[in-house]
Amino acid sequence: MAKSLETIPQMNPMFWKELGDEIADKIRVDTIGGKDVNGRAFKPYKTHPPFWFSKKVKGKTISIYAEDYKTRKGRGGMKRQSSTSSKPDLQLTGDMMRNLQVRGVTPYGVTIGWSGTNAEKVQWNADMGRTVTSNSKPLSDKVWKFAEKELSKQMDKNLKLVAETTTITIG
Amino acid sequence: MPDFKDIASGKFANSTKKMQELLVSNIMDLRKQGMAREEILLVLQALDMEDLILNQLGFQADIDALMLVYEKALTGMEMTGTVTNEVLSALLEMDRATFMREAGMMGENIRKQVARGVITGATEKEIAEGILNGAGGVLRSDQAETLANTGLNTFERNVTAEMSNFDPAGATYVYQGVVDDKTRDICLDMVSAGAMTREDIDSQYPGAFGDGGGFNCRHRWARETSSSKKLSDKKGAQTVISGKQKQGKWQTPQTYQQQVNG
Repeated sequence: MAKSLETIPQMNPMFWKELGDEIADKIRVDTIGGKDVNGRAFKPYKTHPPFWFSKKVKGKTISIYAEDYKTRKGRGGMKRQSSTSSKPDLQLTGDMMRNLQVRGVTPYGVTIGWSGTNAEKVQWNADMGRTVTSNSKPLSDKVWKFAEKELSKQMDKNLKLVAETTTITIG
Repeated sequence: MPDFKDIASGKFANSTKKMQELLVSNIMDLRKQGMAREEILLVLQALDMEDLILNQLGFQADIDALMLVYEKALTGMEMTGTVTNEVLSALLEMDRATFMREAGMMGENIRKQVARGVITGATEKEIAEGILNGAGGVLRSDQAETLANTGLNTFERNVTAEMSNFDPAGATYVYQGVVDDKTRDICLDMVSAGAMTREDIDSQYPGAFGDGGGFNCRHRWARETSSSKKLSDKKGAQTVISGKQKQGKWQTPQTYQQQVNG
């Protein structure tokens, strides 16, 4: 007798947590590698020739030598700097990409993302044309395919747990 | 875009500096009031430095402001499963206690430094400058900034560690993060260790699952995935370690907890 759908085991929260960790790491690898959610290279940094300007700090006028972000980042030496890549990799200290983590797990799914200002930084980068994720396209096609494959594998496993073998005796 | 943690840490550093200046100025006012050296020392001895710093000079409000930023760090987190409000409150209170304790210690060190200055006849400016530069082990403003920033990062790591309760018992973790010339020996050691279970991490690197490598750490323990090799440079760390060993610059490093507990 065939079993009803309700008897098929639900996804285990541990499965979702593992899938969430896998997806987060794949996004991290793509982002650090300079690729956006569409698989394209991030928009390059804007550059400008260095210049001097004056600024009043606590009543004193000081002169500041202004270089573009690409140059400053490439030279290194900034506080807690983790990346000196002159190509956008959305990393300076690495705090933002480290903050991408599994945020919630239920028997029905997993939530991954950023918290607090790190989430604001991701949005700010998207506004600047460097999108890691968006409402219309949360995952890249490659990561989406991976998630579908893993989900399908787990569903097959669950189905096998309730499948029955029918033995037909001939003769 | 500036990080809210950097802003909060910077504000905390400024408050620390202002509080130290105010404290020295208040004590030195005693000299202006015509008190003799011995009298000033007696007053200094009787002062409840912790109460003076936290309540009378308002440092408690600065710690409260910092704790509000801690709560902001949680925005967007879904508190499911084991990450309960009780766990979060406990984590918050532990860090609040750390900052309060630090304020008390800072008060004691300032008391000693001012007493030393009064005995040697130093001016208020000299005493204040000495304290602001960290004389006598007084927490400098840049150290206060590091303390606040590290506290916030560790708090986030602890919340994440709570999430790892969804992982199966045998799950393995790798130490993710950059390997460069600034990387601490303990972090190099943990990166080079490769995948480990939570049990092994806790026994070999006590406290590191939450603390990372300590102050200003740029690393974290993360569940091992199919992408881990691309995010954790085990070979790079091993190369740096063997280079240091050849130069005789390598000693078995200790975790932050091991250092604190001696």
